[in-house]
Amino acid sequence: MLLVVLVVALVVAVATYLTWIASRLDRLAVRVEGLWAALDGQLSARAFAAHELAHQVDDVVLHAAARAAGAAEGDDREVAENRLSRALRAALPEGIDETSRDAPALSVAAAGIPASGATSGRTSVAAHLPPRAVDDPVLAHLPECAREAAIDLEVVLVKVALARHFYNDAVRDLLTLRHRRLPRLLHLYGRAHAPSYFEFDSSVPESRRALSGDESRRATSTG
Amino acid sequence: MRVGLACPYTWDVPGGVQAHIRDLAEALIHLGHEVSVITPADDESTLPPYAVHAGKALAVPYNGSVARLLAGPVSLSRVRRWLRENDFDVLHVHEPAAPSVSLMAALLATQPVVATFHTSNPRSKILSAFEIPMQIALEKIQARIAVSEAARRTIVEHLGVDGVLIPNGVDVAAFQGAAALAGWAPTPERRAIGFLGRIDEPRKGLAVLLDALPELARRVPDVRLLVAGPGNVHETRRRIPKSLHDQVELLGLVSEDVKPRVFRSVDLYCAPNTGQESFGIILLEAMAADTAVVASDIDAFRRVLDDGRAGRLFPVGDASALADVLAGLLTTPADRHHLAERGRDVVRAYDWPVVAQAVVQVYEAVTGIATSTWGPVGRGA
Repeated sequence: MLLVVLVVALVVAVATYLTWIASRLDRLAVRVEGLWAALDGQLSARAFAAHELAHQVDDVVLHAAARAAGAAEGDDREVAENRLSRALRAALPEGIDETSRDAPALSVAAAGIPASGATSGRTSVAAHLPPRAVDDPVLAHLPECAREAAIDLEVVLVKVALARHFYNDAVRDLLTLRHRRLPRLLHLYGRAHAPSYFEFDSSVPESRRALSGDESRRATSTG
Repeated sequence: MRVGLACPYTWDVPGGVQAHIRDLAEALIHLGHEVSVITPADDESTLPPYAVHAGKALAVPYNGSVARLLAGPVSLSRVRRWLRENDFDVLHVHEPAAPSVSLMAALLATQPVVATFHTSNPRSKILSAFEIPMQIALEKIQARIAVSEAARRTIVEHLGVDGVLIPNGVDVAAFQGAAALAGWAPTPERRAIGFLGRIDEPRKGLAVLLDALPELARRVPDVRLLVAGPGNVHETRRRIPKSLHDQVELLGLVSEDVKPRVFRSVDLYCAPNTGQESFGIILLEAMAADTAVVASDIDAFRRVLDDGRAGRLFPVGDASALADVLAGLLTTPADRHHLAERGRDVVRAYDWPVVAQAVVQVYEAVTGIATSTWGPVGRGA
């Protein structure tokens, strides 16, 4: 009798544990999925903004890269997005650089301080939406018509960096749990594909490295 | 964007988290977002129009003191109804590691969840009883925000995940417009130093400033000291040499709306703290009031003061160094103005509209909604 009770207790305990792990896997998968959709949305916004800029500065390389990134799907996506990153680094003025903003500890300072002295009042949304004013010296090399596009693009780059950080975070949580012995042995995650990190080629061309941000920015850009 | 904010603590009990949520909600509304806050409260009539009552909170030991946060089944059903009726784009919970309305909301949410961590020590005994719901909530959270470097370190250590650092905001306009207190009007002859904080709490360091006073008065005879903060006034007065009694004014506890006026009444704000602070919000408030800052050289202050460029730092607890720095700045207005000017630049990054905008960027990063580029709340709104 005691044996039966023990066996039943053990079975219940194991079943509870497995259900708990399975529900965690499920929850994390939902989170990864939601964040992928969000990252996808921000990447599309980036392609759109890059397209705008390419149009304004008449940059064929950037134009092609933006189009390709906007259309790429599946495995090609990461390659296309990285090509766009490189094209953007070449096209954007020094000081506007996604790598300098691609930091997990993205501080509010890096997220954009209005450059004009609008400190006295809470003005309209547009007043502090663009991180830079059109007359920001960083934008001086761009033709006037392209500055708005560059400002928009910079706002999007911050959001891409954030979205990528949150997505990779969720992927790491899910993979950590999937790689535990029991879930792996019992295939608790069913047929769900293992998610993969979304890596950006964040190498900065030599010529730009000296200029890309101060110590604090470099110290934090370890995404 | 439709934003739901969940506040863990009783709304009508003063506290930093409640104030943060109120300011954030108002800044978001000002940016054109739809905001609803759910919070426990003792007196429902104290709630602003954008807040929904979640019931009364119970007292539980949390984070080394007694906090009133745990809420019962009534709250659970109110949170559920609040979520159902509002259809938020994003749910933003504060301090979700505490057993509270925030935790409930995070568990019930079907939309993306953003969480802000305020404290630098989210573990306490009570939490072990809530390990399972907490684990579920933490796994659902898509983005974590820390309000200070200390809070960020805590979530890295305890939860093993990183967070985005978005500091507390300051209502810059409220500090800039304030008038000086009667008798403290800014004149070329005024040489006034301010202190704000508990006067008998050693870590706030008033003792260091009082120790510096005799030497300071020798070099700047007409110096005056304005001290605002709760504590034993008589006890503190006894520590001041008799000859200097007329030059020190102890205001006692002042209300939030007098605070800006205190900063505007002095030429230098002094923060002689001897203990570690997690964040130097008080320095930012002084800077917002255009007052130059002198502060002890601790991590949080050094960070806020841009390594000493936006305010002068002195070695922690060193009264003679403090007297030196204060005397120097009181007698050279140009240096003081230069510091105040740098301070104004620094504080701009902490103005609530800017901070709220940074929070919105996090919302957009987890929802994929891009309002600031071409969405409904975009340009020209």
